[in-house]
Amino acid sequence: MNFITIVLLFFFFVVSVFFLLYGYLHIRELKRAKNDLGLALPEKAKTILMIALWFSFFSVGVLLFLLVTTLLLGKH
Amino acid sequence: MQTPTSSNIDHDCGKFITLPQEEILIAKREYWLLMLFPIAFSLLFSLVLLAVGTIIFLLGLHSFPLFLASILVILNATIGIVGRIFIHWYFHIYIVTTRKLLEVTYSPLDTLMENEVLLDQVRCTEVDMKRGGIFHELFNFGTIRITFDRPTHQQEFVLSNIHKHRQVGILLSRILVGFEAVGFTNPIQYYAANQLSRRMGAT
Repeated sequence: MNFITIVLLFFFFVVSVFFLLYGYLHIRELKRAKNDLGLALPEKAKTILMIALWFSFFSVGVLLFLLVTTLLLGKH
Repeated sequence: MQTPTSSNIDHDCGKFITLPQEEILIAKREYWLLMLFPIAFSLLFSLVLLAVGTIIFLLGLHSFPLFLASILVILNATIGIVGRIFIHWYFHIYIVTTRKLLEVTYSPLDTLMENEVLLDQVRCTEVDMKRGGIFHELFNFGTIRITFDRPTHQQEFVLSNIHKHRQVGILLSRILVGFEAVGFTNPIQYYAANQLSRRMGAT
């Protein structure tokens, strides 16, 4: 049961990190597109994307916390 | 030649640098309503996944950490997919100027496509408009297909799912073909044979 929990938490953590990186790279590319192509998202959309990126960052932190606490509690 | 109207130019399509005496006539994206279908599907699918996650992790395994983790991952994925759909729609633009047709498709980390047709190098042979299905009819959008007589592999320039495509198509045919060739403005009248002979006799 504990082993399954740890494996699943680790899997969720990896997936979250992937989405965090994906979002970050997207926003970085969009900044480049603004310079190269002259295409830019509207301010509202940029704000929403930044909130989504911060949410992604937050969820990675929560998942890391859950993973670490489960690992530590599993030893006792 | 018809002047550009506000309905033919989406003002948030960006700032364009044009050549001297070049004028932007059309700058449009696909109809925004089409973007809502994949977004709605993604949201629905994520709701199903959330329900499945709740059943498995909270009711089945009785593990709150796994339940919380699954919720976070599903929300993350959904936000990522919805953002990608929006960005893909936003950066797909059709631009028509007095000198060229241009289609720009940009998808970060994936695709950058610029399809350009110089109007002084080609001869337009057809401007076809198509609206298929009740949904297209209700929301007034369709596809415009422009065929060129040119020595390239790509013989068609397609403007997909354009809102008020008839207006845009008529404007394009005026620009490209040079006259009001679209049937909507010059209707063909049909007469029964006896009526026709009567009319012919009258004239």
